[in-house]
Amino acid sequence: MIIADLSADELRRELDGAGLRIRVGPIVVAVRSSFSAVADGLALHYAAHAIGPPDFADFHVSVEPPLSPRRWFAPQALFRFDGGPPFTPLPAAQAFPLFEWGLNWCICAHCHQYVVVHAAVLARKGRAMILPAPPGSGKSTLCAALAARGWRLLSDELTLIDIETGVIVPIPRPISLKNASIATIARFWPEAPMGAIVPDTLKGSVAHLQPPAQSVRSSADMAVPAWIVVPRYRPAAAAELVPLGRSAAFMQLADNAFNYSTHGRRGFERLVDVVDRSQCFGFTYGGALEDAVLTFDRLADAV
Amino acid sequence: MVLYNEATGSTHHLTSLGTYVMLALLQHPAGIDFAALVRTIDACVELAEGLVLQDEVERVLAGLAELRLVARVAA
Repeated sequence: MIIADLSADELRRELDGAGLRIRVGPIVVAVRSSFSAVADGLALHYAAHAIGPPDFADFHVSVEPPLSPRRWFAPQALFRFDGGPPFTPLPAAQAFPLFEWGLNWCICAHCHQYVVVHAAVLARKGRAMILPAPPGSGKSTLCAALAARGWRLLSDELTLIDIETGVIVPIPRPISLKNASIATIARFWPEAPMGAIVPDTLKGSVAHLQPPAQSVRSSADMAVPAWIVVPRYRPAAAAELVPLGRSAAFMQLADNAFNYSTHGRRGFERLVDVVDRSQCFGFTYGGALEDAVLTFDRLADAV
Repeated sequence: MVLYNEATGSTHHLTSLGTYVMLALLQHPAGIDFAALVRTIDACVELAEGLVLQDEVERVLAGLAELRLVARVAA
């Protein structure tokens, strides 16, 4: 049974009750919320995700109005994990992005069976392309464009590298688009299943894109590292893929990993293994997404 | 070269010259005389004009010692 099988009323009942259990890749999250924006966001963006078991969840989270006088004049949303709030509240209009950011935090702070890297990751024929990059590098835009053209989305935000085996564990969730990239993707993919634009967040305007249903259905299919590509958005630049040294690629993974130091030597050796298995590139592009997709399709087809 | 220092838990990304120095040192786990080290490095690198290899190796060794990746002892 998947989330789309629930009626709007059933979904609201779960969110108001013990929590809607969603299987997201290798984890199950139980969500409670009285915000309609959260209900609508989950209904759209998690439509293809399986409903988790009733008796277990890895993370119990909620997005609710905090009990403060502000709720009468400036409504807010508070994310809680196991009953405690890891962050300060945000404006109520940001309730769904807050759920997404909160879930990111849960995974980064607790899933130490993986090296968790701030990177998009997509796959072709079981071979994964990891895109590690800091915010503003065009990672999510590129990720959305590739997902639109048939690359399997493993994650837009968090690459989970199994510390034991080195395989990439898919955790397909909504793609988070920000500011100019919202319009860019709307032009590139007019039928994109995009949620409401939420303005004035700490990251500017944010809109989420539903992950492709086929990617969600393939969540159990691991991928092996094959390419590490470090994207860099430069206005008006032509799409250009250039080889990247292995040590530089390693440092991109390590610098963008949330829990690299937690793993010590094992983390180092695991990332060395990922680099050894991969072709490494730097990729500069200036928004010509068709050219970018063509570049990566050729790369995948060359194997 | 990237290396992991188990003693500190730190990861280091070495420069090109740093990599040559470290590789030379790894080939001599019992230690190597400074002059011999400079001769070894001289065989594999070409420095930019105006730089003195001896000074550059000295600088790299000081950096590596600060990172606790090498230790200097009196002969």
